[in-house]
Amino acid sequence: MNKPDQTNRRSLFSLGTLVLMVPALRHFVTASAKYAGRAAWLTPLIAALPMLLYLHFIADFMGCRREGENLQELMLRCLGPKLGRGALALTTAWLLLYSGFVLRSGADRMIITIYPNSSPAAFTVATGLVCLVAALGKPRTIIRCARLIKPLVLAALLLILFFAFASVKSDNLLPITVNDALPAALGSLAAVSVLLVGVYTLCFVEGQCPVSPGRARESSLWLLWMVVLLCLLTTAITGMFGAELTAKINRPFFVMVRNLVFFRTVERVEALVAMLWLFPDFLLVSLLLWSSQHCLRLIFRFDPAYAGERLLDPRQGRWLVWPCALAVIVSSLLIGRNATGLELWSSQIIPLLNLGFALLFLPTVYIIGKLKKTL
Amino acid sequence: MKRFLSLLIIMCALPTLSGCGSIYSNYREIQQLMVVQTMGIDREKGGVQVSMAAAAEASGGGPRRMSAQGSTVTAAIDRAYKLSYEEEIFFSHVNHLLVGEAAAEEGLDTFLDYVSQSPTMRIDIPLYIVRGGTANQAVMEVGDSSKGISEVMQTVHESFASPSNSRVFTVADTINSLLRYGSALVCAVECVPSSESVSPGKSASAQQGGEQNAQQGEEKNPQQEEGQNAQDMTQGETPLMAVPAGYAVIRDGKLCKFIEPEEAAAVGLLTGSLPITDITVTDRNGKDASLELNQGSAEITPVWGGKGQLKGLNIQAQVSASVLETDNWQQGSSNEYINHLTAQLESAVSQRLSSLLRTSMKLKADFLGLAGQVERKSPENYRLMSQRFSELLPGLELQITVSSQLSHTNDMKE
Repeated sequence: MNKPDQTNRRSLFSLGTLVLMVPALRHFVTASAKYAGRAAWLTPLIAALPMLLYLHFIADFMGCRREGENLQELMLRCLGPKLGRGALALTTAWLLLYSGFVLRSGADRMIITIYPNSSPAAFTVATGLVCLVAALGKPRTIIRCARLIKPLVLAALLLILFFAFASVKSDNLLPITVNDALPAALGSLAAVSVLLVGVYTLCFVEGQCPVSPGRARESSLWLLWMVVLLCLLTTAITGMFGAELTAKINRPFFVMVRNLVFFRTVERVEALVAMLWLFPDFLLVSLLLWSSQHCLRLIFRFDPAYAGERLLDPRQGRWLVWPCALAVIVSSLLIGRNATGLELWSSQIIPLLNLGFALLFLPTVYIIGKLKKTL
Repeated sequence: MKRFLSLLIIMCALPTLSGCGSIYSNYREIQQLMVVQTMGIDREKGGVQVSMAAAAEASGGGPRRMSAQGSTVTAAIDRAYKLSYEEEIFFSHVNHLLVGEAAAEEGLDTFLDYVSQSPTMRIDIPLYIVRGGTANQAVMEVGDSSKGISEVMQTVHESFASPSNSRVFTVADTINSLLRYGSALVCAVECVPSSESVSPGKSASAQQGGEQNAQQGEEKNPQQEEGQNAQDMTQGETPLMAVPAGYAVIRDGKLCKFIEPEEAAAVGLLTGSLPITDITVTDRNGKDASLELNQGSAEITPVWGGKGQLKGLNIQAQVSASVLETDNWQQGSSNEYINHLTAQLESAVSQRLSSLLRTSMKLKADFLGLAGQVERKSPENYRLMSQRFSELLPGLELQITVSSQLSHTNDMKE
């Protein structure tokens, strides 16, 4: 903790909480309501069990890391130099694509809530450049930034949920019967997809934390808190609008915020809330951008360890962050060029790739590592 | 300290990021904005006519109103904006949405979809159908120089929604009900001559205020139409007023019937939001007595013939009322008289409930959300039903029981 590039697990979970907020407000509630109907509010609870199992797998995997190692180094060690580089290349591609999508999706949120009929390019490029500055620095800065912003974002979210609960109608949430089990299980995939983002992205910067026991327990507690948060979110939204309407509207959270009146005097605060969600976007994209350049530096055999380099120092492969940022911005400009296209990316392509990366790719790496006894 | 400072900086920066532009070059005084409070939508020649009204100005100017046509709601709004004198039309505070009867008969889906996807309008705006008229007439002609449709609709809203029981159905309620039950209930208003007449002075100022009005049609000359409505309001002419006119039944997105205002009590009982309503019954001497319904509820119990076989509905209503007006105040405190009035009240409520439910059965439209109540009572059986609830409605047996209580008769005893 005393080293300039190190942080602690608590700060890491703060980052996890905030990066999870990005997919949580994008498609999760709509998808849950679409598949689970009235039982949408149960989907995070159903997702908790598989997620706890997954968390234990990740804890076991990351338990094999050495001091200073992130998931990237661990993958390289598991698979060996050749296969490991291939896996890192695949990881880089996914991280860059996902970053581009997050930028595009964030721009869409701004357009829908504040700047109708605007071009997304201005938002994606501006946010991308800010994230580039963050990715050029130390990952510890990103983590500390999350620690500072988390209280603000959570306070806003909880305040909104508090007021939203006054408009919740029990008819929209009950009755739930055994027949709802299958739809709810299907809907819980959306919750799993959201929680996975928070779980595995942290592993890319976990090298900043000293190796210490108790990871599984601490991360399980954090995960349960996230499950409660997602549960409150779905309950407030589906309880207010009903599952049928929630499944139909775009970004129901911001529609809900638009409807809220605080103390009968303050209303229409959705612009402020939408702007507040720029912070989670910024943190997630910065984290993914830093992680992808880290992967590339390992692929090209540079030493990615931080050695007090200045922001614009291109040595040790640090120049790779520039093409990474360019790739993110370009992909954000190409993804979802119209509403239908973006909906396809948001509801199908990205969740499927995310599930594939977390539930197939990473366990495969782990199994190979175990078989090769490199873990 | 660093953390505190960072939080402070973030919080200070937030207002500048809100997109309102209040500290940038597009700053505008509120007088420069037309803050639309009431919006009306009609179908016109294959397109859409949108009418908009702001509230009356504090400076004494009449309420600003405008209307325009277009192929869609968005096109009509764009056209209104282009052809108006307003610097900016602001839709974030639309409080009432009116749809003309003819437009509602053609279908509400497009309009509901517009509101639900709109980046500026709220989804919980109260929705009204203009019975026997157009939304354009309501928006452009209701009110006088000091009050426009926005102020009048506020009164209408209050008469529909008592403080404890909101019965004004919003856009969100309507979409939800249509998606869930295939039918919905929407409040109806109608334009009738006001009981007040316009004084000569007021008429003149109405004309001045109306100079802002611009009715822009694709085939009409905007200048010719401008101020027309204000000029029509000649000296001494009775202005129009919007008043509650019962409810409109929307089935499959289209208006199919109106429910009379007299049935408001039955609607309230079955939807769990009984308003304070007057009921007139006949006393022992054949004279009218006015009762005020002030509390009540109805419990709906499904009657099942087997697993998933819905046979009928058992409706048990409980109401309490007070006596407002009677010709026989001397007999008012007698038990016989009270019992008679109670029996009359029960009969009247039962009749209204029956009439409303028969309407629902005849239309095959579950606009009262009975399916939801049946589902809550027996969710397992409900899921096993082979047909949709609305399909089963016409064949259901109804059993209605009403128990009532006259709770307040002090005015008669004294």
